[in-house]
Amino acid sequence: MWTEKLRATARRLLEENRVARVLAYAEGMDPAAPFPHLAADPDQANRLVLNAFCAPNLAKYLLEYTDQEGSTAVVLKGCDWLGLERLIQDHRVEREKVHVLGLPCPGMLDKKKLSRVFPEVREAALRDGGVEMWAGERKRTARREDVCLGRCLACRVPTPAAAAEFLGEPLAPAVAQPDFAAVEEIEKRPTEERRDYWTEQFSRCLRCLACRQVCPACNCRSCSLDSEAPRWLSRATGPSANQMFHFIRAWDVAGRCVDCQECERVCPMDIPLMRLNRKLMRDVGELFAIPDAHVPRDAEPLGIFRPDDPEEFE
Amino acid sequence: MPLAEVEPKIVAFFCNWCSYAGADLAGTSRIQYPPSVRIIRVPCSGRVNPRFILRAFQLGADGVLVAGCHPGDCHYSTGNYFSRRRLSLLRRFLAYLGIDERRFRVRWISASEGPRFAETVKEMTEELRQLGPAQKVAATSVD
Repeated sequence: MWTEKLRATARRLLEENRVARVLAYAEGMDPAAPFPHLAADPDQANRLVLNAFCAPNLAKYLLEYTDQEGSTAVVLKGCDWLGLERLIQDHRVEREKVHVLGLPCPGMLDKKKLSRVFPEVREAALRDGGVEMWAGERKRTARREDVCLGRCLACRVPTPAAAAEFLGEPLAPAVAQPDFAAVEEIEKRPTEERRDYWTEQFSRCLRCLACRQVCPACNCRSCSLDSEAPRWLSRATGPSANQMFHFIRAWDVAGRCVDCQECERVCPMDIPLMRLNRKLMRDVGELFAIPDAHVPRDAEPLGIFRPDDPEEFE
Repeated sequence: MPLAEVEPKIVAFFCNWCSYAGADLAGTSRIQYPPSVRIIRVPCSGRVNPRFILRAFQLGADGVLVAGCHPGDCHYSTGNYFSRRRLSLLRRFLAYLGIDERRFRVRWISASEGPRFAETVKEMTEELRQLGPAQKVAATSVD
């Protein structure tokens, strides 16, 4: 039903020349894995889809159109919208050139979980009681916990706080407060165990850089990870190079991460990247008294200071 | 030689205007301090990219010391206020990654505080001796 609403909206916006293009999703080879798609004229609007498989955050694709004329309509869920705010605060995207189609999102499905529960799934709908899924005639139902992305089960921002138009009725957040239990569990371990834990996690890293590519906070025009001189990142993927890579990736979004958790979703090796991001997020909030440290503000926490900041050093 | 007698290696990032001058004063005043410290002069404590610190640990430092002007006295007015924020966060993050927080210190040392510089190095060297050599993530330091 989202698809019809989206197609009608996209067609109208393009016919009335309100926007130059509509950024949404289209069906790929696998109907359960739609990919980002751009509709630039009204006839293309019918290719667009919007369903419970549309987890990818489209905000960062806006960077492709910043130097083109006209504004871009983009479908954003609550989490994606925070990514857009990040790009706007970073002066990478102009607010005036974006027409947000806000999707109040009840949760998106997790491909990794589905591959265990119902790999053939082609259609799905989230109901109050659970999730209904179809593969042709075959139908299955599942609990949300078993098929939805972990981030959606603890969603704090299902609906964008602001949008040019909404594609549905606003939804209430699943939880009010972020859960830092995973971070605290690691903190309780002895130093050596923490080092071994991370060394093991990082040892799986393929250095595909998907986490960087997908991150709305990783939006620099040139990235120090690609730099030849100085070369911050050796091309080898040994333990210390991997440690350096993950340190740089997490640190450079410290105080800037919007908690969208796309990095973790796209990681092919299931490295718990959010346990790094959330550690920094919680500490930034506590140290500098910033409530909701994931929400982009005028000034980023490490880009400012107060003379009466806590003094921990002699 | 038993490990306890091996002198720990401290990589120190000192700001040009206060702390480096303070260390210089300790030298010209002939104040004794352990030879464990290797000082790298930087324009300001704000110049110290947290990557430098992790890299120092990866390349074999047993401890890292960052020193700058006292808050309020920065040659560039505000550089050390930024570092204070950043390094408070970094200390927690390094500990989280498994680098003992006692191995990372930040001190404000002014140009007139030669004795304080010597004291800082003595204290830190003593603590690192107690802790023993730092464990590296890899057997080879550059991979």
